[in-house]
Amino acid sequence: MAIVIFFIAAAMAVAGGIGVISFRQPIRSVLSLVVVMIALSVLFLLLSAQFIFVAQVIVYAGAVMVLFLFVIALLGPAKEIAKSRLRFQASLSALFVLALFGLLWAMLQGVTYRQPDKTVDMSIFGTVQSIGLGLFTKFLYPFELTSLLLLVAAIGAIYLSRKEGDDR
Amino acid sequence: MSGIYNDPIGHWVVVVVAIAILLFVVLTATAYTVWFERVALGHIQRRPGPNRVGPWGLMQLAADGVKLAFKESFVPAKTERTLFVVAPCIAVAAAFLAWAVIPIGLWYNVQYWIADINVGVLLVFALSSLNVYAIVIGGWASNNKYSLLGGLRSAAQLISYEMALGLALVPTFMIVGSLRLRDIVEYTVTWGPYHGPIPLILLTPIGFVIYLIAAVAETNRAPFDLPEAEQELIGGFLTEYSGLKFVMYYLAEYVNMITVSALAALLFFGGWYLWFVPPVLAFLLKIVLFLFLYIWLRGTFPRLRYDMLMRLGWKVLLPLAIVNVIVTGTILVASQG
Amino acid sequence: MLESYVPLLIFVLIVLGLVGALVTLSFVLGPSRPSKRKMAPYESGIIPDTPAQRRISVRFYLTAMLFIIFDVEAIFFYPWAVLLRQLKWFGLIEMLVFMGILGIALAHIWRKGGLDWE
Repeated sequence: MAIVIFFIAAAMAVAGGIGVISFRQPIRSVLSLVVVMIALSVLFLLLSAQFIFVAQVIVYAGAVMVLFLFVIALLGPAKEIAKSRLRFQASLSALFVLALFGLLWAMLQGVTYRQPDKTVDMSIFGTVQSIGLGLFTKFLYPFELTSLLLLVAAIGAIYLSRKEGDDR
Repeated sequence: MSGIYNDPIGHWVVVVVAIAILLFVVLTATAYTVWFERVALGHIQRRPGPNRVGPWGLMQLAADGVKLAFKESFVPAKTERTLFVVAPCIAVAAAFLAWAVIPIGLWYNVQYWIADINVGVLLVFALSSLNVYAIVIGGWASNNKYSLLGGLRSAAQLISYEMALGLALVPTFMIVGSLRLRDIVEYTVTWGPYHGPIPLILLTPIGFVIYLIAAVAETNRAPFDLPEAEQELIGGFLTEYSGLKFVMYYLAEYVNMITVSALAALLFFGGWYLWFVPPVLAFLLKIVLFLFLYIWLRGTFPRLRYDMLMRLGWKVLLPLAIVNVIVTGTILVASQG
Repeated sequence: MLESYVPLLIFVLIVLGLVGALVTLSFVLGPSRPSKRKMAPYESGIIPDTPAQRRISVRFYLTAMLFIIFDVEAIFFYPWAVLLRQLKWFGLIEMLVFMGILGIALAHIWRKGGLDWE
């Protein structure tokens, strides 16, 4: 059962990924990326990471992708035009794809699969409570540093979006 | 009940039948919410409202539904055809899926819910965040300036109030210590001689006020119905929709209204607990009261201007929600010792 | 644990079926008599002479950016809220530090006019 859902979600993610790069209209690429995000959240759920599953949908599908949509609307109805292609683009990309798959294959050769940790209590693994306990005790410093990161992002957002010569 | 749950096949039959019943009830409830709204608005404005089709006009919605289903539902020229069709689907799917985690008290000590999951109410947030796509894509795909503007306005409004909505519920989660809606309803206190469930509004009144305002904005209802402000935007993102596709957007809006009312009843008013009243009636009564509040608001308040709307969301509700979290947290920890 | 999500999966499938049926019916039921006037966008009777998809205000972009920042913040609040009774003062103080830094962010945005819509 789980393996069937895994393959469906994985196929959705790959199809979405192909959609992102192959659609000519930016808005369709963004929606393909939303499909990828939702498929990823299903994969997280299959790994019993329940909180990460909803966080993925809320933050990535619900917030980051909305920003992308707004950026597309900001750009106007621009459509990507296929005029400035490189020479030999098709054959070059085939070469790179082959190299990438070669690398992936080589990497997968060295992987040793771990047996599932028997000591983990699966009834609480991935719940909001267990994530919180880790986040607020063991990983306290990364958590506090996140707030600094968000502060930097806020300042950056303000400076990026202000008008030319507007020195408020 | 538990016998059925231990039977491997019987359990899934129960689940499927329950889902079918739930969908039927929600769909019917949606139709009668529209009827209720039209009658209530009528009386607020001193006119009778629909009263011709069937007794008290109760069949009005069936008539409207049949009429709309057999209207032409065309896709205008030069639209993004696929996106134009997909957008209302997202709206309806997201609206119905929220009911997966909402528990329904059927009788004393008998409750039913489709999925009892640890992340509970966060799933409702996740689904409501997908609503943005239905509106932006519908507006973008319509090839209409008013649709696009309505869609984008609406998206900015939804995301601005989503944070306030989420943060308004944090005090409730702190008090209960769980995100499951059932745990929140079942939360019991011992105050002197009293021992039993309480409406949590007594403990987080400010959280409730923020939730109420943000929820009205999240469902695009008056006085926050700017996305479909008919005097300035024709119909907003709905302008180019007709027939059943138009119905789908409307269906989603009213299902969302009922969802938000049910959540308010569960989170702040003790869900199905009301003295000796049978649980299912108590729950229904609370939902109907909220729906009436929605309609009352629509009949009473003028629409906000867009800058006022954004100011309210960002400069009032968001800071207030954060302060509410800090104050409630401090009181909670201090009282715990 | 994952078993509790199976009813959700069934629900998703049934709802998708319902939505698919509605969309199909919207094409099957009802007549289809397209005409040039009918298919044109309705913009209050004015015939559109410019493309509908135009560039929009940078304000929307800024709102979405700020939304991401505070949405990520809110995500951290949920596990913290659920655990506050166990973490006690320690939990409260660490969240106050987190919120303090984000409060600075909010104050900065506010002062720079990032929340104003004219």
